[in-house]
Amino acid sequence: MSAKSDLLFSSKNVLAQDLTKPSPHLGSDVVTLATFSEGFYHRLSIKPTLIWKKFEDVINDIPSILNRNTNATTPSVFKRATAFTIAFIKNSPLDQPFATGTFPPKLAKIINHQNAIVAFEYARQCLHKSTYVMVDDPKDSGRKVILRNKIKVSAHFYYDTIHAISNIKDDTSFHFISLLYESLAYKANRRACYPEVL
Amino acid sequence: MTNTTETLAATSKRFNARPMLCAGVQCSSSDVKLRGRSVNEQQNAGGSFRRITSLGSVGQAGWNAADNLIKNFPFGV
Repeated sequence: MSAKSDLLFSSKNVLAQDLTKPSPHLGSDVVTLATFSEGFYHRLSIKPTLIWKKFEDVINDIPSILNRNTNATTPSVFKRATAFTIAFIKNSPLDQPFATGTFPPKLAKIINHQNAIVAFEYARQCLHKSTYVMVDDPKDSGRKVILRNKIKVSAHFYYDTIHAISNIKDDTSFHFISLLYESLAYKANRRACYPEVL
Repeated sequence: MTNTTETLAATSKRFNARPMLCAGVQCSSSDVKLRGRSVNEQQNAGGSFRRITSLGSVGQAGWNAADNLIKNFPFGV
């Protein structure tokens, strides 16, 4: 299948855009997200219904969320993870809740828990081993940081985080979620942040 | 295509998914040419996400995330 036919198969959304400037990998990105989600459902013995248009909308929303909320020409990994999280909740591509028989009932009681959990888990695993350069480090400018340790939280904090993410309505929480991801990454990776001097 | 509910395998085949699929958001944002910048340009400033080499690994990551929750989230918290 050619790149062109891949585009044509992608969606009405893609076809409605300027096809002289195609997003040739949109289809693959959609499949990636859907595969991650499906893997999650499979562990719960659920065969999910995948609504492709919503996954496409998630992918398509990420750049506009970043554009609206950052002035940086190259947004940080935390901001990109945040834009993904907001786009995922906003479009909520997963419409099947996790069954309480196989899933912790406390989490399953949160409205739209399935989208909040998958979004957080996807962002969390993406941030694990992501890298960035600390350009303003006074002692070691240009130091490359690798977030070697995965974000880890308590059950209480996990519940509160999922509850907070599930309540995202729009971009207004962008900067706070970004700070949340950044803080959690720093907690797990002590040398990943600038010196704490204040 | 839109709003269909076919199996993932069937759709993957139709999408002709690339063997190298990105595990990170970077894949999405860069591949849609975020701000017109390439992957390499982004890596130097905002940072970059690692890549997972197969679609199977992506699915496994989702499976593992659910497994971790089921095994480690205490009931009654």
